[in-house]
Order: sequence, then structure tokens, then C-alpha cells
Amino acid sequence: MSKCKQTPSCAYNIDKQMNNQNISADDKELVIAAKANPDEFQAIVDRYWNRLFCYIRRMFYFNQEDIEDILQEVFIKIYRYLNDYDNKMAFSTWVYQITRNATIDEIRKRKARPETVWLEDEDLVKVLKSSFNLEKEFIDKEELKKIKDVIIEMPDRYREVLMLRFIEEKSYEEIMDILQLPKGTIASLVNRGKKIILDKIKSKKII
Amino acid sequence: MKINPAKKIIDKIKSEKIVPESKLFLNWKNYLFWIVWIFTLILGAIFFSFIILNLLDIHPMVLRSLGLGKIFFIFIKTAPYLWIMLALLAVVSGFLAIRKTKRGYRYSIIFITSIGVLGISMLGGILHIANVNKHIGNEFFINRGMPRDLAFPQEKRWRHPAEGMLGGEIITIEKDSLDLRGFDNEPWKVYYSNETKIRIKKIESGMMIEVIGEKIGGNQFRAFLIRPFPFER
Repeated sequence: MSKCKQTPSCAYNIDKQMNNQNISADDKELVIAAKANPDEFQAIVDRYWNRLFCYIRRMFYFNQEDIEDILQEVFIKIYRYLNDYDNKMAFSTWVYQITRNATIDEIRKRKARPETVWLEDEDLVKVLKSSFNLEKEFIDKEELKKIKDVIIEMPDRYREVLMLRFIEEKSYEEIMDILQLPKGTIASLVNRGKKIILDKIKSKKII
Repeated sequence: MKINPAKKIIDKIKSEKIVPESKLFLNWKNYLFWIVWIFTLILGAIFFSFIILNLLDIHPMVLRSLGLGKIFFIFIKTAPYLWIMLALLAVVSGFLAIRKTKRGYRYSIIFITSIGVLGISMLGGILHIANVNKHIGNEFFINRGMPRDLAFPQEKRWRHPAEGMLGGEIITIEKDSLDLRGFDNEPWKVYYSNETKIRIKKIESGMMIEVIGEKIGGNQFRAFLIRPFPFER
């Protein structure tokens, strides 16, 4: 999974602050421990904070303070809903699902969606090379900017699925659970999304 | 370096005394939609059992005497449209209920619909074998204001004496005939003999019957087959 660059003010050294015995614990063990003792929930927050921060910024592009506020609510919700988690899906998928729903609720509350997305150049290159089989070895800054514009102009549902698939590196099964859509719908959104980008790249002669 | 946000979250959890909610509380909506699904399945099965009753009302003897074309025409006029629509509505409602459950999005339209149709058909068949459809028809729809032609469209099928199909209520029974009040309230004299196939253990006045035979005069009818009509009057 690609790492998003957080600004120094929001980054914190998770590993140093994590309880050593929790570093190797798997999610399910952490959930059991957190149910028994809220202090143990810190390990879950530490493990997922940066990932979810990047996820929200990529998908919805709120500013840093807003994302932190959303995440705080998300983790409180995760804690309250711990008994609802079952082993039929990965804990990370469940966490992403809650995060997405909470962020969408926040957007509805504000009645305005951020008009752009946060996409690092390296993320974009990765998407283009791994999923679109572009033959060109180097893509210059100007081309990347144009491709980024194409992605920003895409309908949200395609962009969201493509980001989860190629940047968050989620499987179709995981995306299905995060977006709560049938697997067939996910596959068709991925394919159509890729086609939209390729068609736009070709029609605008970007590369 | 910013403070670990986890600390802030844990402090909030402790200060507001937030605890993990019970599974039952978190899942009540999920359970509710599963109950709704079961309910739609049962309702759909009842509607389907009315469809079965209507379809099984077509006797092979009628097919032989009327021919496929004519019976098809009569069937189109007397098909159980109300029950077909309600059964379809139950399948659609069941589909929506499943989709609203926690993991409902995982199932494809084909899978949910197939399970719904299969469940309704099987349960409907069982209800028919157990005569539940007849009991429900008699208990809930007779004299409850629902138009009979809509609830029991097969009644219309037995208003075609010229085509060999007559139905109604037995008024009096004689040695070789019975007086019948047809479904359209016309009085009929129905003659029967040893050759008449009678599918009723004991014919009594007040019974609702279906007669297959031929019209032999004004309001006179010769019976080839007599069997009970499933619903009361």
C-alpha cells in the first residue's frame, strides 16, 4: 500500500508510542483486548490512524483538522461498535467501511462535498503503470497534472473504486464490503472507470 | 511532533464513559429485516398456494372436451392475477428486505430472487397440501368485502355451461339429479348417473361444487364429473 505524505504537524511516530506487546498482536486479539480494557484500544488507533487519514484525504480531500475531527469520531464509533465486528471480514475492511460511512455522513451534514481529491504523483504513476499497462516509461509533470485532472473530473463512484483497488490495494471482496455493493458491481465499476481514464487520456492526447 | 491522537480518543472514551454497545442493540435493524424477509416469504407462499389452487382447477377432462385454444382463452380471463401480483410483490419486498440486512449487499439479485422464488414455491406447495389456502380463503376472504371475482377468479371459469363447465351451490338432492344455484345465481338441474365420476364422499345440500358435462336444454345439464369447489359461498 502506498503511503501518503502527511504534513509534519499531523504525523506522529506511532511505533515509539505503541505498547511493545501490541505491535505483533493481530487485529482480532486487539479487538478482544480493547473490549476488556479501553486503554488497549490505543493500539488499534495507532495501527489505523495514518492509513485512515490518507484514505480520507485521497477520497474526500478534507483539510487536516477536519480529517482529524472525523477520525476521532470514527474511532469512537469503532469502539462503540466493537461487538458488532465479526470474523467474516477483515478488521481493516470493517474499519474502512465505518470510516467511509462516517465521512459521507459528515459530507451530508455539511451539504457540500470537497471539490477535489488528494493524489500524490507517485500514487498516480503507480496506478497508471500497474493498472493501465502504459508503455511509456516516464510521465512528465505536465502529463501527470492533466491525468490528475481527468481523475478529479471522474464521477465519484468510479474514482472511489479505482483508488481503493489500485492505491489502497484492496481486493474486490474488500471493496465490496467497504462500499457495501455487490461484487459484480465493483468489477464493472473498476472496468468502466479504467476505460473512462484511458479514453480521456487518448482523446485529449495526454500521453 | 503532535500528540498521539489515540490518547485524546481514549481520554474521551473514559471521560464520557463510552462502552461497546451490545450486539443485540447494534443489530436490531438487521434482525428486523430478516424477520421482514421471513414474513414476505410466508405471505408470498400463501399467495402462491392460491395460484396453485387456481391452476389445479383445470381438469384434464375440460382440456379434452374444450380443446387447448378455448381453455387457454378461458384461463386468460380467469387467471389469478391478484395472487400473481401479490406473490411477485412478496418476492420484490423480500429482495429489498435482504438487501437491507447487514450483509445483504453480498448477495446477487439472481441469488436472492432464486432463494425467494424457491422458498415461496416450496412453502406454497406445502400450504396447498395442508389445505391452508382453502381455510384462509374461507376464513378471511368470504363475505369480507373483497370482490369474489378478484379473490377467486376460478369461479368465473364455472360460469360457462355451454362450454361444459358449471359451478355453484347445491340446493336440493334427488335420486338422479340435483338442483344447483349457479355462480351467477341462475337455477340449474344437473343430472347424474352411475357413469358420472363423483369426487365427493357424500354430496350434501349447501355444498359448493364444480360440474363438468354438457348442457342438454334450457337450464339443464348432464354431469360427467362432479367435484368440490374449494371455497364456500
